[in-house]
Amino acid sequence: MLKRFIKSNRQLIFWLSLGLLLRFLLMPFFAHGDIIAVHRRVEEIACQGKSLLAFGALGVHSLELIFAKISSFFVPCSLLSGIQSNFYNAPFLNRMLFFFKLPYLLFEFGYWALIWIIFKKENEDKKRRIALFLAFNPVILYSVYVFGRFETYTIFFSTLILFLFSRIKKVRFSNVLLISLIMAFILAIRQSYLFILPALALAFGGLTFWGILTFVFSGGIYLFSGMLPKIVGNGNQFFPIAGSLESGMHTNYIFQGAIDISQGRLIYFFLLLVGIILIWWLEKRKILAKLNRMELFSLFSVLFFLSYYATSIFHPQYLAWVMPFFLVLMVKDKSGFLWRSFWWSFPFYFLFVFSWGNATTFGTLFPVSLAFKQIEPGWFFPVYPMIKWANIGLSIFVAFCLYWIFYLLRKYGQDN
Amino acid sequence: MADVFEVNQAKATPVRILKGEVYRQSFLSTTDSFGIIAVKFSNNNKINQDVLTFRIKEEGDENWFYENQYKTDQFQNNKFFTFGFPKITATQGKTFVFEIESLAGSEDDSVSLFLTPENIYQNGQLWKDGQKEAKDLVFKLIKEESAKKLIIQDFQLRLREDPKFFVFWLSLIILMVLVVVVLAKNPQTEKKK
Repeated sequence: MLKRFIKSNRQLIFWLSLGLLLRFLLMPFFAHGDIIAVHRRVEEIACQGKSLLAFGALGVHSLELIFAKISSFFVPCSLLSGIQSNFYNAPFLNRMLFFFKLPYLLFEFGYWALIWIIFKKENEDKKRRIALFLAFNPVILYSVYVFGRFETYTIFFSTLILFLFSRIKKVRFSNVLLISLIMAFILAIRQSYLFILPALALAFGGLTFWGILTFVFSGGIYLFSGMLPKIVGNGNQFFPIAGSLESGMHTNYIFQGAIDISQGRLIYFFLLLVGIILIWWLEKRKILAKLNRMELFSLFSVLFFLSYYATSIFHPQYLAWVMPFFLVLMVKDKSGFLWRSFWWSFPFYFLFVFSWGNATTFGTLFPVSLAFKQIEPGWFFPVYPMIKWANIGLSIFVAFCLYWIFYLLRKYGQDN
Repeated sequence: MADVFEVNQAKATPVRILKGEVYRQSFLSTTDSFGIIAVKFSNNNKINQDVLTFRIKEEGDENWFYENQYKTDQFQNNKFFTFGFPKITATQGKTFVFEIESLAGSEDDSVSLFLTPENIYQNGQLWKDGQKEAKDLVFKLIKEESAKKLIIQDFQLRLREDPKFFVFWLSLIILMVLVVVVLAKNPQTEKKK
């Protein structure tokens, strides 16, 4: 059976194998300090016996803890403890990075498999595009295997929701509960997926019984999981999520892009766009009701994420979140515009990545040599200072995001 | 490694650099160009959160040639930390000054600079907060070309440190290359009958 599968999908497997080879090459030699910071906390839990509940981000720490236990044969506590005393230059760092990133690769495999199943009936040309998008997606390669962030966890789970939507013929309570649970787990890993919680409700029809139930279930389970440290452990805040939402720098990004109309009255760009999208949904809800839930969830997730990227500061790895949803719309896009424009957009995204300087560029090679921490990309930019080039890149990337929003609203607003 | 020169002494002792303190060291360049100054630090056996500013210019210049900030969580104990900057050329016989300033160092969260017990380096002077000191910083001047050597040397150390892992990793890479080559021989998907 496997032989037949390989024979009939030889070209696709070729591209995916090449993508896999590329990932293996990157894994031990690139990283940002964030992956070390996460695993230092994991070391405290796994090796020093600290409580999992003593830390925030329950979802990601749970997963990282499980994988740290599984890979303890290759990375025992005696090695892992090296990152506590030596942040950037721990002994056996390359081995550790390889095994830290291995779960990210496994989850990406899961994402590939689900996408494969969802789109197995598509024609060869579309399958080729899907394989290329999966194997050589520069945003995923950079975010997960160069930067070293755990974005494939949430990518896998959001694709799992897409897969379930593609299979569900009739909405039942059990389906809603399962999808809500998965969404809550995504939120426990990445709080910023709150942006697409309304998209999940809209996929169930918006202000319908099932839509409201999904919204309440996902949000409720997530909020409850956030209170666990107080209820069970020794956390010092009863509503840590509310606290972090209010004070957290990252979650407040959406309120930083605003225009002061007068006397301190602000209009937030992100909410302005989201508002327009929701009003558009109100107008087009009958047309949109003809779409299947998978496409509907993808559409609104893409629209909300693009609104965020277009109006707020975002860290380089955040762009990875939109990928599975974008892929669905790209496959459904007969004109091929989304496919072509995606590849045109990413050089500008990478120009924007330079705005973090050494930490997101040469500095990611610190596992090869600490000397890379001293090479500033700003030395190599001609004419303008580096930050100006980065802002030029961001401006054009935002133009792509806004045009994609416009394109999708126009395309899906038509009654065919 | 081809360092241009090194100011060092076995008796050099670590001294914490605290918030607002500025150490300035001058030196005479004995090379036609350079791109790295490495300064010896102690992290006092902990990962510190202070941020240091490093700046360098030719003595007498009004503006600093290069200035950057460095988080001290990356500083290793009793090791030289390399401050890199764009290569400075035509430097032979000229005097340069560099400064290290702490932005947030405290008694229990700061790194230490190594100071020689007396003024052993005759071609330069150390100042602390503008006051002359009869000591010198422990530091090295490194030519830009040796940065490449530094990278190669570090990488070789990494390979030697964990040969088991690199044998495993290389086997994986070779295996994947073979898979890709086999698939590339006939990449056409078989048409379904």
